[in-house]
Parts: sequence; C-alpha cells; structure tokens
Amino acid sequence: MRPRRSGVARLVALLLLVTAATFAAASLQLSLGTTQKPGPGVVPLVSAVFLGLAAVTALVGRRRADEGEPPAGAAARAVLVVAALVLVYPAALAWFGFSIATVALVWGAARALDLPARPAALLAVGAVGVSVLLFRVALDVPLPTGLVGF
Amino acid sequence: MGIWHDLLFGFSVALQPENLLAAFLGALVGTVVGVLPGLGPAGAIAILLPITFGMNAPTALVMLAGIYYGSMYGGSITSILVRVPGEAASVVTSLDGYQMARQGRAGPALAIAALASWVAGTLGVLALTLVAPSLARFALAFGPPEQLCLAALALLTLPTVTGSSVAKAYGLAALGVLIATVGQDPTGGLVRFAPAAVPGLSRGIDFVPVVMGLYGVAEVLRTAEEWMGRSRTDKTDMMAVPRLSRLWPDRDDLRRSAGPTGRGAVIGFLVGLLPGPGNIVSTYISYVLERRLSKQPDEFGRGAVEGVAGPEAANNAATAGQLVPLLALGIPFSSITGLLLGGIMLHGIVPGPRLMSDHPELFWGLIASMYVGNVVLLVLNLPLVGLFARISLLRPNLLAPVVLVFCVIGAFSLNNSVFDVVVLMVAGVVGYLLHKAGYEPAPLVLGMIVGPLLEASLTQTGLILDGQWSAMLQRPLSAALLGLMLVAVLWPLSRWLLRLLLVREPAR
Repeated sequence: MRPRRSGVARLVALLLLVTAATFAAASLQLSLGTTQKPGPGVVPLVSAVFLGLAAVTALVGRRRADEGEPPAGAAARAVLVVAALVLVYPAALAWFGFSIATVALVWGAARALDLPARPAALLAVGAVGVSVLLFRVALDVPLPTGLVGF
Repeated sequence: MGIWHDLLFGFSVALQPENLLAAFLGALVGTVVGVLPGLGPAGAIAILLPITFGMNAPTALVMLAGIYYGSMYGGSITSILVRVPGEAASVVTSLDGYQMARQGRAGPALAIAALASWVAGTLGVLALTLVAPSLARFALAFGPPEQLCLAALALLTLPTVTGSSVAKAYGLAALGVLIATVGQDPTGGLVRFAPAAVPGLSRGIDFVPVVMGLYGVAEVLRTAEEWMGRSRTDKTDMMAVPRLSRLWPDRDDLRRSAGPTGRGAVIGFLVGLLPGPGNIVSTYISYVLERRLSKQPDEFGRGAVEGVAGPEAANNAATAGQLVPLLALGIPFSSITGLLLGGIMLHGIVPGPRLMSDHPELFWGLIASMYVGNVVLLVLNLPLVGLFARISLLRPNLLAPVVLVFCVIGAFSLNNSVFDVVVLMVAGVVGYLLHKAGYEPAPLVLGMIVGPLLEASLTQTGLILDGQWSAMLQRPLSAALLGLMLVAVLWPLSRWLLRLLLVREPAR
C-alpha cells in the first residue's frame, strides 16, 4: 500500500492550492494586455497556475522521506506556544511598545524551551536591555514605544 | 593589465578602515554562525541584513560576503571536534576530521582545514578575479530578451537542485514570484492584490522580513520542537571538547594535503559556477575523488588527512565560484547569493552586467576584500579555535529566544513599520510548516528576488520585439539561453523517466 502523505504536507498543499486559486481569480480581474505589451495580470496568473499545479502534484503524489510528522507531547506544546507568541507579538508591539512586548516574547519563548522562570526573565531583560541600548540609544533606530510610551 | 589595475583599485577600497573592519566582523560573525548548529549562513545573512542598512554599499556587501565565507570555515571546527557540522557544507569534513580528533590529532586536523580553506579560498578568489570581469563584459550585450531568459533560467534551474521535490520547488518559486507581485506593478504603477483592509500591502511585501521569518523565526520553532523532543539525559549530556595539545600538522600531513587542496579548489570553483548549493555538492565530489585517487582508500573514514583537506578546499573555493554569476550577471544561482543580491538591492543598486562599470568600488572592493578576508580567517581561526569550539556548546534554549529579538529589530527597522513585523512572524510560522512538509525555502526567496526582474524584462521584451516573440530565436544569445532553459526543463524530466524505467525493471 502506498504510504499516506503526512498531515502537515496535505495541509500545506491545500493552503498553497487556495493561495493559487485566490491569486488566479484576482489576476483575471487585471488586464492581461497584448503580446506587444503584456498586462499586469500575466505574470501573477502564470505563477498562480504553476503554484496550483505544484500544489495538486503535492496533494496526489507519493509521500517523500523529507516530510515530517507533526510534533507530539512536550515538543508540540512548545511549538504551539512559540507560534502563538510570535503571531500575537505584532499586536502587543503596537499596543505596549518594543520593550514590554519583547521582554514578554523572549520570556515566553525561553519558558516554552524549558528554561526556568528566573533565568528566562534574566535572559529576556538582558537581551532587550542590550538591544535598546545598541539600537535605540547608539544607532538611533526608532523602536516602537506603543500606546504606553515605553 | 586592466584587471590587475582594477584589482589594485579594489584593494584601495577594501583596505579602507571601515571595510577592513567589516571584513573582520563578517569573518568573525560567519565563523561563529558556522560553529552554531542550526543557524546556517543563509539565516545569519538574513538576520543581519538590517544591520547593514546604515553602511555604504561596499562596506555592507563586504560584511555579508565575510559572513558567507567565514561560515564555511566555522562549520569545520565543530565537525572536527565534536562531529556536529555547523552547516551542511561541513558534513563531509566530519567523516575524517572527527576520527583524527579521536586519535588525538584534533589540532593538525583543524590546522589542515584552515590552511586548505585559505589556499583554496584565495585560489577561488583569483579565479573569480579573472572570470567575473570577462563574463560581465560579455553580458553587457544582454538586452531585455536575454535578461528575461536569464531570470527564467534561474527560476528553472535552482529549484531542481535544492534537494526537495521538483514540483514542490517550482511551486515555491512560483509563490515567491506571486508574493513579489503584491503592491505596485513595476511597469504600469497599478496597485495589485492589496485590499483596502490591509493598507501595508499597497507598498508591497519586502523580501527581508520574509527571508528573516523563513530562516530565523522558523528556525526558532524548529529548535523548540527538537529541544523539547529530546530526553532530559540528551539535554544534559553535553559533549566535551577535546584538548588541543598540538596544533601544527607535521611535514607528512602537509605533503598529503597539497594535492587534495589543489584539486578541491578546482572542483569547488567549477561546481560553484553551476546553479545550486555548490559548496555542499563540491565537498562530496572532492571526497569521492580523493578516495578514488588514494593509495590507501581504506584510511578514509578512519582519519585520512586528505578527507579533511579536499572537502574543506572545495567548499571554500565554491564560495568564490558562486559569486561569479552574481557579480557578472546579477543572477543568483543559490539562496545565499540571492540574499547577497538582496543586500545590494537594499542600497538602491541595480545588479547586473553593468555593476562592474557603474559601481567599480562595489565590484572590485568586494573581490579584493575576499583576499583580505581569507587572511583574516586564517589569523582569526588558528589561535581562537578553542573558544569557537566552546561557543558550539551554547544551549539552544538560550540562543533561540535571542534570535527572535534580532529578527524583530531587523524587520521593524527596514521601514519603521509594524506591518513588516507581521510579515516576519507569519513567514516564520509558514516557514516552519513548509519545513515539516518537506519544502526547502530557497526557491521562494529566489522567486521574490528574480520576480520583479522577470516581469520588467517581459514587458520590455514585448515592446522591443513588437510582440513577435519568435524573434527571440533569431538573437544568438537569447536563443542559446532558451536552449539552456530547455535542457533545464528536460533534465529532471529525463531523470524521472529513467527512474520510472528502473523501478519497473525488476517486475518484468
């Protein structure tokens, strides 16, 4: 029996297929132009078709050795926590500013990676402190201060 | 005469204090990156790209290139001492290098690796000095039809050699081109695929946060999975670094390494010219060749010094070879040179055959800095090898969260925009999922970089040829490039057919 594709591989192939269909539909709303002057819809449409074909091939093709299984147990929890942190982070950055949001991000990621609470806090405050000194103070990078102004 | 005069000009640029410092810092950071398992040169260049915003273009490129070739050497240190290759190009070195270390010859193995890297790196740069200007002059004859073919050729060839399936690679290259089309159309100015609900999209999606997400944030997620998937004993079982009692190789080691170093340099440079990860492929070719040529092939895998010298020479020479298409044609044939190209474009410089004539300080400054950088690497690595080996033992759960901070600052400082941080984080999660599904992100990066060039040259070619696309076959250069594209498409197809036939053979 042919080995089933991993769940992640099927999910990614489906997402790519949806992306291809969305771009293809949107490209058709744009002008395709003429052979003398290709319109702004040509390259996106051709690329979307390529992406769609590749996604279909990935959906129906044989399983390959480089496809991994979703993590389980503690590894899955760690990945989910870090993924949730990085996805929520931009909103936190806009509201609370770089210092607070990034301390929370680093502390959370370090905890998810099994670092005890106190060393994780030290790492977070240290990394953010050095970054603020280096980038905001020394290099004048306007790191966002957020609504709380810090 | 012309080349040497230009090279002297390059040295006058490379030896300026800020460029010397950039070469030193690049080589140092590259070595550290090479030492750290997980964070490869592509990830390091992606994360550090924003640091170069404030530098002038030659200084920025000198630093980024320093990271690239520094990482090639750094990877060998941990390969030899603890059999943990810092990056893929050092896997082969660990076969014999680690065995030499176990026999108490870690010092000579590291010294041979450093010397072979230096000799081959310098020979590679010499070849780059001779080949790149000639190719660039030749490529000045390229018009939009040829540029269109070159861009398409890059998109057709790199995905076939990245290691993941051809369909997956082409799919990601197409996705990269699609992402690059978001925002303003480069020829007509029309804003595409930017709904009003997401205002940040109207100025397009920058490749820097995408690359930092794919290589940096995704790496943090992978580290979380790997680290938490290990048993507690695995985590505490830290590897001991062997003591380095004697560093210098004896006369016999040097004699046995000379041939493999020379052959490795030639193989590395030539393989580096081809699309794909030349610095990885060349190490395998060099190792197999040295084993075939050896009078004691049984020694390979048990501590043969030739098995360290050849692959180390090959991967360093390949670094120079990979810069030839980048500097002469403005086309990246690997993910790392794609990132270097991005570094050039961030400074408003249009890469391509005119780079040498329009920005000689960048072209020749970079080449000259590589001679300097190779010396810096040798001087840096021999005395500091013990320190670098200890860096490799840094726990991933300390390093990974700090990588996130670098990524955030880098993405934000690009345009001082939180939208870029959103792109960074989404790209990170997508990159992790792609990795789990067996996709290699390099074709996506290539698609994002080459996409705009492809689209612009497509429009210009249509206008120049007045819609008569068959006229491309009457232009010798574009016809030749179309022929190469055909080979690029047919090659994987023929391999697939061959595999299909071979699989069916036993059933008969």
